[in-house]
Amino acid sequence: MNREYLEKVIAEKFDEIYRNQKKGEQSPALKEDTVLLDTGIDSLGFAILVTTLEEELDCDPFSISEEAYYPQTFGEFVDFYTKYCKK
Amino acid sequence: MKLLDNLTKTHGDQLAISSSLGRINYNEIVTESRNYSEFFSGKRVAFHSSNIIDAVVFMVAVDGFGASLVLLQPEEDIGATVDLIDESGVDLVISDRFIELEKLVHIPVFQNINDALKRCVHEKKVFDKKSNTSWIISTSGTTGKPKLVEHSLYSLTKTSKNNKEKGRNQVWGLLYGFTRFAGLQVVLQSLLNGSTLVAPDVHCSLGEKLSMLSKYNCTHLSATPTMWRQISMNPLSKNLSLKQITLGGEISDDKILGGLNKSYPSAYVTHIYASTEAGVGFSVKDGKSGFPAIYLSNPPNGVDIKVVGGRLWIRNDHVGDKYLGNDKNVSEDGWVDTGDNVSVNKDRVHFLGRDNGVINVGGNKVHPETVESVLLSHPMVDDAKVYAKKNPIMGALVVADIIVRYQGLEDKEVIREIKEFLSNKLEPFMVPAIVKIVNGFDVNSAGKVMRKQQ
Repeated sequence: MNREYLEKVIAEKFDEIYRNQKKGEQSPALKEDTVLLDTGIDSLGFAILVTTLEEELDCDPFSISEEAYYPQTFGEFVDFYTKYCKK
Repeated sequence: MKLLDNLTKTHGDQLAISSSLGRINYNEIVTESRNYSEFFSGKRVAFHSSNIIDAVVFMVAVDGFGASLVLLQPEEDIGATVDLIDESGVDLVISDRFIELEKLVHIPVFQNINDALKRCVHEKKVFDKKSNTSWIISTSGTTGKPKLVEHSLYSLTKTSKNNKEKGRNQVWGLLYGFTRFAGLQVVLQSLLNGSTLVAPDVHCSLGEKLSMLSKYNCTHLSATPTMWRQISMNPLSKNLSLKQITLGGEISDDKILGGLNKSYPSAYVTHIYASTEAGVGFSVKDGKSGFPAIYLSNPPNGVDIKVVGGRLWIRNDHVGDKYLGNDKNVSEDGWVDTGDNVSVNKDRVHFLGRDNGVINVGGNKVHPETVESVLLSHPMVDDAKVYAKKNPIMGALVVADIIVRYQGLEDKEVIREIKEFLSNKLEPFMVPAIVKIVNGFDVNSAGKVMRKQQ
């Protein structure tokens, strides 16, 4: 899976969860340096995003990676998935 | 020793609390609470307000003088609060929602301590200067009806340090509600050490809380693993210069422990095992998940620990804590069944989760049965099984498998409809993150549906 594809899937799932949490409100545009937890999505939403992506991609970089790493921005998040979800 | 006597030994001009609403130093707490302790002597009193400074003055004024001190959760539903007030049998309540509460309870309600004192000035009473005050706090109502649990200052501060010379340079941050068990322990620890407590309003965003903590140079911070992951994902976390990091309320995994060690190399990283039922627990300081098996034979802090049939039992040499209202003492021969499953692998004991299937979603406890019964109330759902799925951010999430009655709709539409139905009836953390339509469930040899953890 290349970065472009992963970025698209992540942004789609993010939008879905955001609308769900915010009762249909339009989700903000995600830029490379957008801090995910500053978008208004809470840590429950973030947790749901990771689980939904695991279902979709069959890959959870948080459990695969040996390193203790917590991405802060959208760019870092996509990089993290690109690094560990190669298949 | 009374809380007041402890506080008279602190440096009086040291800032005791800085909250979003104001500041108070140790001298001021001591002077104010001395004015009130005679009034509270022998009384059973409840406190119900979100003002932490008032709460601390109240606690210092009541401890060692009053018969019991009940701390109610300010954010709790008012109906549930009224039930707890009735159940606790208190003589009076101090509440920042006194207008609402006054109409609903049969005992006096005052808006603050000063108001209570003024209005009861003619009261005649005996000043009892030596009371063994019960500290009563309510457990969170997220698993159903909130319950009252009785503690004492001794049991609440059993694992606290009391070092006023070292403590003077410590700045404790408070990220929990101060009436919660975990929050109260942070407050009492900061007070016993004569430290400064920084208490941002619970309604502030995490960014605002972190800014306030770094502004006051917070050195000691305690939070759940979920909160620590959230902190790690916030760029402001790099402004904190922490010396002591504490994790509790959920199982701490090696990743978050390792991540904190890396981000704050000069801080000690400790995780705490504690259950409200047992009243106290123990801490693990080696920065690894679980706890050393040597604790089973050589326990820390005079707390006995044993593993029976994969279950963790604790014996606290001062078990006086019990749930009020049902007379049932949780302990048996001094041993308390914690309900936590553990595995023992050579030199390490690891936590596996709750025995009763309760799912811990970032510190919020969810009974699968609660979610199942709501699912079953939907006309399309024939059967449902709710269980935990491990999650790297919140520890676990709720997921559900369902068998649906008829197949007129696309699976996707059914799932969307059911999720919407659930979100109108349940708290957000209780709504299954994933709902799957299945044809049948695994049933064990006893004919019971297997509740697995993925």
